Amino acid sequence: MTNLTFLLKNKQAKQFFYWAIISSVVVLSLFYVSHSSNSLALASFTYIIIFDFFCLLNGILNSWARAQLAKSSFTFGFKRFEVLSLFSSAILTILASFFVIKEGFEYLFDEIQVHTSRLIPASIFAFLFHTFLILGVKNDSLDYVINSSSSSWLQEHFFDISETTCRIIPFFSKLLLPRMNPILLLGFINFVTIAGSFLLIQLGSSHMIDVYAALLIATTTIGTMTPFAIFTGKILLQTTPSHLITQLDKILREASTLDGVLEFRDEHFWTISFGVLAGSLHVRIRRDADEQLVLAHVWHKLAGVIHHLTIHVFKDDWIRRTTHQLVYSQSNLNSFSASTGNFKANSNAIQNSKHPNTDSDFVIINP
Amino acid sequence: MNDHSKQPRRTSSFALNDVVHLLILLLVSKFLKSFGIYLCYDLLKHIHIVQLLFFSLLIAALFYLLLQRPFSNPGTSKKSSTLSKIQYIRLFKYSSFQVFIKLLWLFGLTQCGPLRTTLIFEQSEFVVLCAIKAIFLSQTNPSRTRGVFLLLVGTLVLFAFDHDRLQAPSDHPEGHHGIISHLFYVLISWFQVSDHKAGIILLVSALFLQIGFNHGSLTKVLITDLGGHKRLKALSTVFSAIIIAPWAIFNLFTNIIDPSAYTSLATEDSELLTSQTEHSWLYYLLPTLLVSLFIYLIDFYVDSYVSNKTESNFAAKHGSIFVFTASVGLSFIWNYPHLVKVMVMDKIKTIIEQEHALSWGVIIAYFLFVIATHSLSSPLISHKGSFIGYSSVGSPLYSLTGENLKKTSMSMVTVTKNILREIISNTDSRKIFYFLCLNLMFTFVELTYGAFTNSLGLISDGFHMLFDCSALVMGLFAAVVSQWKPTRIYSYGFGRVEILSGFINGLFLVVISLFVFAEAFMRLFEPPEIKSEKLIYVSFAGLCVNLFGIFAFSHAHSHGGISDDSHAHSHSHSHGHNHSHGPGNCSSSENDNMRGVYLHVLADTLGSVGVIISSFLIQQFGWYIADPLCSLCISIMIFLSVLPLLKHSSSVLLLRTPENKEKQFKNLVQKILNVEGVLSYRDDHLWQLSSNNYVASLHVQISQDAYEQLVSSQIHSILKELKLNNLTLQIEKKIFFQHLQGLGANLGQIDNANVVYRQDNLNR
Repeated sequence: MTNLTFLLKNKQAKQFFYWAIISSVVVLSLFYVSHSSNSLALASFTYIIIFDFFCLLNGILNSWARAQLAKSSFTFGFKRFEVLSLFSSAILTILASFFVIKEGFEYLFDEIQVHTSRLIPASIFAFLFHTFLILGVKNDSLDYVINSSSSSWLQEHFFDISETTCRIIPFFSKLLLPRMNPILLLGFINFVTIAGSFLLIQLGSSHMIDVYAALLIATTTIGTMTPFAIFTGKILLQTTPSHLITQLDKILREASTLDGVLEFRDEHFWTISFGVLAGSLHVRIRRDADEQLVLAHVWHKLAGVIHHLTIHVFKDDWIRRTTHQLVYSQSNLNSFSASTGNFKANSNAIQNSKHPNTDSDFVIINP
Repeated sequence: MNDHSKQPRRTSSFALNDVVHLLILLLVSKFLKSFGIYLCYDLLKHIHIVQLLFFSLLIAALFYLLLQRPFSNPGTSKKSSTLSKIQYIRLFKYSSFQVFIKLLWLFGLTQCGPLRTTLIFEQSEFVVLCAIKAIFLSQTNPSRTRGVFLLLVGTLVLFAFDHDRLQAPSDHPEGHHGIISHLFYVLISWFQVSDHKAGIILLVSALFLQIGFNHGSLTKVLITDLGGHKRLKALSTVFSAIIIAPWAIFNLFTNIIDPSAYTSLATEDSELLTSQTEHSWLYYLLPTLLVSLFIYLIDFYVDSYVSNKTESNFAAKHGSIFVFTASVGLSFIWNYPHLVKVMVMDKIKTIIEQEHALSWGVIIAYFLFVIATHSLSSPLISHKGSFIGYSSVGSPLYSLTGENLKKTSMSMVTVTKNILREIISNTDSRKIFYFLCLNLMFTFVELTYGAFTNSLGLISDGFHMLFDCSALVMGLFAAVVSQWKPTRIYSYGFGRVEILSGFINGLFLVVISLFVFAEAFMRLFEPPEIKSEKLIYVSFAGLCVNLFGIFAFSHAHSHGGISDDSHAHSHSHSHGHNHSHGPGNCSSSENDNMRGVYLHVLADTLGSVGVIISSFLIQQFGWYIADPLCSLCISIMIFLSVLPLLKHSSSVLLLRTPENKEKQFKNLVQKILNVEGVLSYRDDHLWQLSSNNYVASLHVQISQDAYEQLVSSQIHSILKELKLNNLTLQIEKKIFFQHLQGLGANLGQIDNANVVYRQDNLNR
C-alpha cells in the first residue's frame, strides 16, 4: 500500500507508470492483431515491445529502490534490484524468442495463411512506439547496460557494414560510425524484416516467408539480448569486473610494497550494482608491523575504487595459537546473555556530518 | 592514393591505376570462360560427355605442349627433362583425379545448366577455404561471419527456392550412355531429388573434392617436384587426355554421335534431335576448340598472371565476382543460339525456352554470392591478440594471450572426453546427464516415428520435448560449471552459477506457464476438435520417462548439497574457522539448480497427465472443453510451484541476508559486542554465495588498548556457528581514522548510519 502511494507521489515513477500502462495496452493490441492475422513475425516483434515494457517496470523499481533505506535483510542496499530486474527482462525476452523459434519450427510442417491487411500498419506503429520509448523515456540503468555491455553481433555487423559504406561515402560517417543503440537497431531491423516479408507475400511468394521472418527476428532478438544478459548475469555471479582487473592489480601491487605487508589473500571484488563495487581482502602482515597503519594505507588505496570495502589484517602466529587457547575464554564470553540492546545512530546526525557520540572514547573524525 | 602507389608494397588496397589493366584482363577472361561454359553446355547436347572432355583436353594439351614445353623443361637445368617413374605414377594419380572431377563437373552442367554451374563451381578456392576456416577453426571477424552466412543462405536458396521439374525423375532416361551416367541416374532416382538439386549436390561435392585435393599432399609434392604450377597443369592436362582417350575412343566406336542427352530436353525428344544432329566433325570442331581455349587455357594463364601481380585474394575475389556477373548477363541473351534451332523445329520451342531458365532464386543467390565473396575475402585482422608495438621493419606486433593459443591446441575428441569425465564425476550432473540422454532418446524415437508415419502431432510434440531438453542442458551446464575452480574474475568460484541457473529455469517455467495459460484461455472460447488416439500413447510413454526423472531428482532434491562439500573446501586455506558440514545440515541446504530441473520435470509430468486426462474425457464424454481447462489448471499449478524457487534464488542473487541464518547472525553480532575491547560494529554483511556457502564481512571498532588479533580470533570463534566460508573482519581503532585523515582519505564511505554501539559504552 505504501508502495502504491509512493508510486503516485514520485514524479519519475509516475511517468514510468503511465508509460508502462500505455505500453501494456499496445502490447495487448499487438498480440490481438498478430493472433487475428496469424502472423508469427509480428508476434515475435511484440516481444521486443514487451522488453520495453519490462524496462519501464525496471524504471519504476529503480525509483522505488532509491527511496528505500538499507534494511537489515538487504545489507547492501536495494540498488541491486535493478541488476536483477534487467537480467530477468533480458532472459524473459530470450526465452520468449526461444518460444517463437520452437513455434516457427512447428509451423514449418504446417500450411499457414497470413492475413496481411493489418500487418503493415501494426508493425509501423510498433516500430514507432518502440523507437519513441527507447529515445523518449530516459532509463538510466538500461543506458548504463547498453553502454557497458559488449556489443551484440548485430551491432558488430552493422558497424562493419557502415564502416565499409563510409569508406565509399565519407559523408555518412557522422551518422553511421558511432556505436548504435542495439535496441533501436533491433527494432529497425525487425521492422525492415516484417516489411520485406509483407512485400514478398504481396509479390506472390509463399506465406511461409512469415515464419522465416519470425525466425530471423527471434534470432536477432536473442543476439541482442545475450550481451545484456551476460553483462548483468556476471554482476549477479559476483565477478570482478574485467575492466577493473588491471587497475586493481596495480593498486594491490603498490600496496604490497608497504612496510610490513607480507601477502594478500582472498581478494574478492565484485559489483553490487551498476558502478557500485564491493570488496573484501585479507592481508597477512609481519608480526611486528603496525596493524592500524597498514590497514589505513591499504584501505586508503582501495577506497577510491571500491565502495564497500572490508580488509582483514592478520598475523600468522595468532591464528595458530588462538585456535587452541581461546576456546575457553570464548566459551566464557558466550555465556553472557546477548540481550544487551543496541543504539542505532541517528541518520540525521550524519547528514550534519557530526558524530553523534562525541562523549564516547571512540571518535570518528570526519573530514 | 597516388603517393602510395609509388611504393611497391603488397597492401590490400591497390591504386586503381595499377590494377585497372589487370581488372580488364580478368574481366575479359572470365567473360570468355563463362561463354565457354555456355558453349560447352550446348555442345553437350550433341556430343557425349567423355568425348567432349577428351577432345577439349586434347586441344588444351596440344596448346600446353606448344606453350609450356613441359617435357623439355629448360628452366630448371638441374632436373632431368625426363620424369622419373614415381613422378609418372603421381602424375597419373593426379590426372585421373582431375578427370574424375571434370566428369562430375560436366554431369553437373548437364543437370543444372551453365548459370547454376558457374554460381556453384566457380566459387574461388580462397573464399571457400576462408568459409571453412571460419566455421571450423573460428578464424573469423564480423564480415567473414556474414560472408559465411550469406554463402550458406545463397546455396540454400539455390537449392530450395529454385523452380524445378515438379516430379523427380523416377527412372533414368532410356538410351545409350556410359556406365558413369547410368550410375549417376540411379543415384538421383535413389535420393528422389530433382535435376537441379542433384546437379547442385554434385557440383558442391566436386568443388569440395577439388579444393581438398588441391590442398592435399599429392599436389604440393607434385608442384615442388615438377617446378611450378604451370608445368604441372600442362603435364596433367596431357595425362588427363591420355587417360580419357581409351574411353573416348571406345565410345566413338560403340555409339556414333549419340545425342544421348543427359538433358531433360533431349530425353523427351531424342528422335527429333537425332535426325537433326547428323553433322560432320568439322561442325563441332570450332566450338570444342573455343571451349577448350576459354575454359582451360586463357582462364588459367590470366589467373596466374593476375595473382602473380597482386595478392592472392585479389584475383580470387574479382575473378569469381566477374564470372558470376558474366554468367548472369549471358543467361539473359543466350537464348538466340537456341532460337535458331527453334526455327528449324518449332515443335519443341517452348521446351527449350523453359529449360534451366532464370529464376528469382538464382538472381537472389547471385547477389548473395557476390556479397559473400566480397566479405569473405576481406582481410582477417586478429582482434584477440593485443597490439604491442611495431617491429623494426615497421609491421605491427601482436601478443596472443594464452587463452587464444589454448583454444586451437585441443582436439574435439579430447574436449568431449574431458567434458564427459567432468559430467560423470559429480552426482548432480551425472543424474541430469542420464536423464537428458533418456529424454533425448525418447524425443528422437518420437521424431523419427512421427516423420515415418507423417504425423504432425508427434513431430510437434517431439519439438516440444526438444525445447524442454534445453532446460535440462542448462541445468547440466550449471552443475558442471559450478565445480570449476575459482579464477581471477570468478574469485568466489563458480558455485553461484547454480543459483543463476535455478533462477533462469524458474523464469523459463514462468514463461511456459504463461504461454500455456494464454493458449488455453484462447481455446476456452473456441475449443478445437482434437484427434488424440496416437497422442495418448505418446504422452503415456512421456509420463513414464518423466516419472522416472521425478524419482531420480526428488532423491537428489532432498539430499542436495552433499556434493558441494568438496567445493567448500576450496576456500579453506586462509582462515582458521571450521567448516565441516555435518550430515544434519544437509536438509537445510537446497540446491537451486537441481530444484529448477526438478520443477521442470514435474511440469512436464503434469503436462502428460493433463493430456491423458483430457483425452480420456474427450473420448469418453466428448467434452472438448476439458482440454483447455486442464491446461489452465496445469499452468496455474506450474506457476505457483515455481514462485518459491524464484523467491529464494532471487533473494540469494540480491545478496539478502539468508532467512534461515538471519536471526542467528543478529544474535551472534550482539555477542560480538560483548567481547572485551569491542566498542561498536558497522557494515555487517552476511550473504549466501551458493547453495551451501555463506560469506560474511564486518567492521569492528575496538578500544585503543585492545589487541587486534585477540579480538579477531574471538570473533572468529563466535561466528564459527554460522559455518561461514569466508569471513572478513576489519578491526579498526581510533588511530586508524587518524591515519586515514593524515593520508587525506575520503571518509565518505565510512557511513556512520549503521554503526552499532555497545550499550555499556554509551552509558559510560
